[in-house]
Amino acid sequence: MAEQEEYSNSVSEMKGERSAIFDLARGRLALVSSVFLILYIIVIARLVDLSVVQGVFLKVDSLHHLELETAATLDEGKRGEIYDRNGVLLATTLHSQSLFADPVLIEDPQTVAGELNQLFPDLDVDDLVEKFESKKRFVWIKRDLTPAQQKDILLIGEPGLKFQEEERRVYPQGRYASHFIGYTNIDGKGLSGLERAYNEQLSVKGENLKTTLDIRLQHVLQREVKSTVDEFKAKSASAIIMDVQNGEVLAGLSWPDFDSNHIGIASSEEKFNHLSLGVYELGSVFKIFSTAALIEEGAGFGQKFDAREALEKGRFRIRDYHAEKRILTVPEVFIHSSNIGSALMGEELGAKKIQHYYRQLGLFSALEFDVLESGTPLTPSPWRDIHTLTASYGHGLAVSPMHLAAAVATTIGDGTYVAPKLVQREGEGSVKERVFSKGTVEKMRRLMRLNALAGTGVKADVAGYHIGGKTGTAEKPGAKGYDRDKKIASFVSVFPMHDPKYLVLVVVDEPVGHKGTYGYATGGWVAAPAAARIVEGMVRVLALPPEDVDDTEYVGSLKQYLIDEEAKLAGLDF
Amino acid sequence: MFLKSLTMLVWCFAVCAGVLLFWTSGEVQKAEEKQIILSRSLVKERERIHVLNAEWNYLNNPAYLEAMAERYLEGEKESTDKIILAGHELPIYSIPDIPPEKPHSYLSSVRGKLKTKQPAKFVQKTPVQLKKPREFNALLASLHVGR
Repeated sequence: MAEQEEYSNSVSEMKGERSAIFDLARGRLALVSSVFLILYIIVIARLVDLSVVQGVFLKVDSLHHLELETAATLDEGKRGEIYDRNGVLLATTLHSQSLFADPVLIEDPQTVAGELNQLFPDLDVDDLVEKFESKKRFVWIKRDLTPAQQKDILLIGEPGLKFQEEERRVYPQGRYASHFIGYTNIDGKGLSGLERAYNEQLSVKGENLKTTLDIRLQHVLQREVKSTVDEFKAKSASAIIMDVQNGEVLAGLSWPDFDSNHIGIASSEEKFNHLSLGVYELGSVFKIFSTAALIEEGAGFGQKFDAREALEKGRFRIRDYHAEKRILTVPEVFIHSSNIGSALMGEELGAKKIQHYYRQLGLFSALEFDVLESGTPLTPSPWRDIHTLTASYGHGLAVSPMHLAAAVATTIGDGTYVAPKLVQREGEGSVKERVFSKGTVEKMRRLMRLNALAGTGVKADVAGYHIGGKTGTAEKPGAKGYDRDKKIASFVSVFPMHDPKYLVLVVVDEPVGHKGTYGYATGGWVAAPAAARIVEGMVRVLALPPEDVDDTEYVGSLKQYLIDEEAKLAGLDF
Repeated sequence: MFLKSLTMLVWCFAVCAGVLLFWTSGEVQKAEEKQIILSRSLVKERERIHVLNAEWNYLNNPAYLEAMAERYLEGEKESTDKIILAGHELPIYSIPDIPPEKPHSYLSSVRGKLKTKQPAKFVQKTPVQLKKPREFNALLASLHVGR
């Protein structure tokens, strides 16, 4: 009994144990199942979200997302484009096909070479045969093919002729502003102009460049300067249109020019940038600076300078081109472009002051400009007394036309230094250094206007547009001193003179006078009419309204410093 | 009983999940194919637009446009003298009228010095008319140009 009891106890004990184990197992199973259930619910919820919610209801958005991603990756690795200020394309990269051959696959080299020669006469048959008979697997035949050329080659049906897609830099505006835009080599590396200066930004980052150029004004500049060069059989020329207020270069030209699309056939003379790299003695346009310096130092318009006789300084003799042979006031020195008067102004100022103002105007150092082709001025070393005199009328030191434009913009703008720029940058603002006071600026504006009314710059005047300007005629240095037959004629024009906005500078190298100019090839006869035509072109392109400015009021105060004849010419005979 | 129903539920979920997964993978495949087609056409289209843009800019070279205008249009270049008098006739930009009664101050400036330019042409009373302003305006309207 006791045994039976013991047995039943052990069974019930076992039963109890099994039941506990089952309970534990059941519990664990329920736990695991619950975990899986939760996981399934999460997976299913995500599936419903992806397939039903996003896939059906937001279908367009998901596809749009894909498109955007694709579009974003398309432009990667492509060289950036260059635009003018109005968004006109100046430089872009297009895909082109280049032809190469796999000589091993060419069975009849002679025939294939003959057929290619028919399509491209510049490809020599013997050269081609030699290439086709080599044992290489890759030889270049011709690069940068047009689609039509590619089609013609495909029609030959030769399996050994193959194509490789390459990138080609294209300049839709051809010759326009080519010295500024520059060019690249066949591997897409910038070699000149903006292509060179901004190579990293364009090629590595693939960023586009927006320039300050206006291709319509570039056309006007190109047309008129070319016509002047043809008329006067000039050796070279350069010209610029600049915004006086912010230094933005609206158009710039160096002639002879080149087409960036065909850089291979451009000569070194064509590739030379006369506008910002070449430095020249630019002559009387410098009288703007020496006169401004004198006025800034406190001189009045009434100050007199004896220009009755040529100025003898040691072995140097300074004479006037348009000799008045009398005592001249400051406005008279300016409008008659008297070298003697200006030299005397320089003498009065002294070397230190002349150097100070010229340095402030940026005429002694290389320009910090957007292209690397920026010339360093040539200054006298050592600086002797005579250089103070000659520098006052633009001889003895050589600067680039771009230097001159910046300095003129500084003198008649608002008196603070105007740095020329070619690329538009967002939020750029720098502390401007004041060179001339506002009073001096106002006086210089009146002198420039008077010069266009009654001085050497009358041919630059355009009625209704309040032009002011200054001529420059410099003799070029030759083997035996200055050569009177070789001149650099220039004119700098600014308008509207009472509130300057645009500056036009034309520099013509070695113009030859003709019957129409009575043999003269001076700034007033050569560059001033060109500047007037450029202004007329700008007026049409920019639709600039004429302004009614009363000159009797604007320059009337200068009447007292002029002789009757001059005042009459200026319309001041009231 | 609880386990049984839980198992059934899990099975149901599993089947649903399987079906959804299958359907989703099909959708994804379709979307991928569509994306590839779209990408290709996008590349092609963008390249075409790029080439056309370059071509458009090339054909809009100012020298070419000027030559075409001189060849095919009747209008001639307006001199700045005419612009002064016909300012209000310009079709796009509004230029304030210059009162014809008041003598222009610049007349005094040109009187003495410009031997080649005759001041007489500046005092012309009736403003010079542009040749065909109406046609030009109609052309502008048809091109949706103008402001």
